[in-house]
Amino acid sequence: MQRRQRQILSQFLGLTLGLFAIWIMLSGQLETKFLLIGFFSSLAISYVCFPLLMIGEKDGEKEFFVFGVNYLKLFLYSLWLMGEIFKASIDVAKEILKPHMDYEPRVVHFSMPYENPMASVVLANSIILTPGTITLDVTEDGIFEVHALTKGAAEDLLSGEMAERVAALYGENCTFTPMPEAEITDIPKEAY
Amino acid sequence: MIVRDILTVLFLSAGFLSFVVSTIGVFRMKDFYTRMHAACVCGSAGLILCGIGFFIYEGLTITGLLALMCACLVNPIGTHIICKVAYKQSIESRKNGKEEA
Repeated sequence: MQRRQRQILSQFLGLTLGLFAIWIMLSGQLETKFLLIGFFSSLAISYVCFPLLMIGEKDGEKEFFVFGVNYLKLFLYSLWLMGEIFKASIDVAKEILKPHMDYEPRVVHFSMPYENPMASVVLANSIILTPGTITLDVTEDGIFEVHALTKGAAEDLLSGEMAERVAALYGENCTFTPMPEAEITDIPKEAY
Repeated sequence: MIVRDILTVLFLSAGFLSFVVSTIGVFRMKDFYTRMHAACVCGSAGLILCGIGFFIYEGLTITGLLALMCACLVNPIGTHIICKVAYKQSIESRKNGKEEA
């Protein structure tokens, strides 16, 4: 329990110092008055926001801090994602500029049950950020429903490379299982 | 100096080109979801290319970086909500882009 408290304290101080660093870089003034105002306002903001930034697991046993990522890995992942975005953009631009359109849109499903909810958020966000694929829904059990513009985009997604990179980013070990289209008709959808 | 100008022009015109392609796509595509795909191109690739162009011209600024990061974080959420509602309301997608007889 001691270790857990120390971890929470370090996360809190990290949040405060991060906010303070952004304050200094945005204001650019180094007088004592401004530094004190900045430090105390960032302390107050972290005190108010810290409980909101702890997200529980779906069973409610563990709690995860939203910004608790390895930032070097996140930077490398975003560089890789940028490359993927450009490749996919060129594919979508080709589909758009074809004289006779023959794209075949489809909805694909796969299951990737992450423990950390932020991993699902990052994966869904990356899928939408890549042109040609849009996440339609993520269920509680970690089933992703994705609308893909072309067959190539759907196959890239079902190869599971992006999902495994996100799993490595958050240190998760869960298995990627693509779900064929026939099996998915009886996934209950919540009523709107 | 001249190299920087050339790089800036290259990146900004690539971004501009992706905005143009995206707009053409919104008009040419046949149904709701594929139009959303076309609109995605300007939201991600166009924005990132224009951002890189600005960074090369002005130098890396923290404000610009924050703006780009927030745009990349928030843009997909809007797309997701619009598409999710359309999917739950069972707006169907066409099987292919060919003209129907």
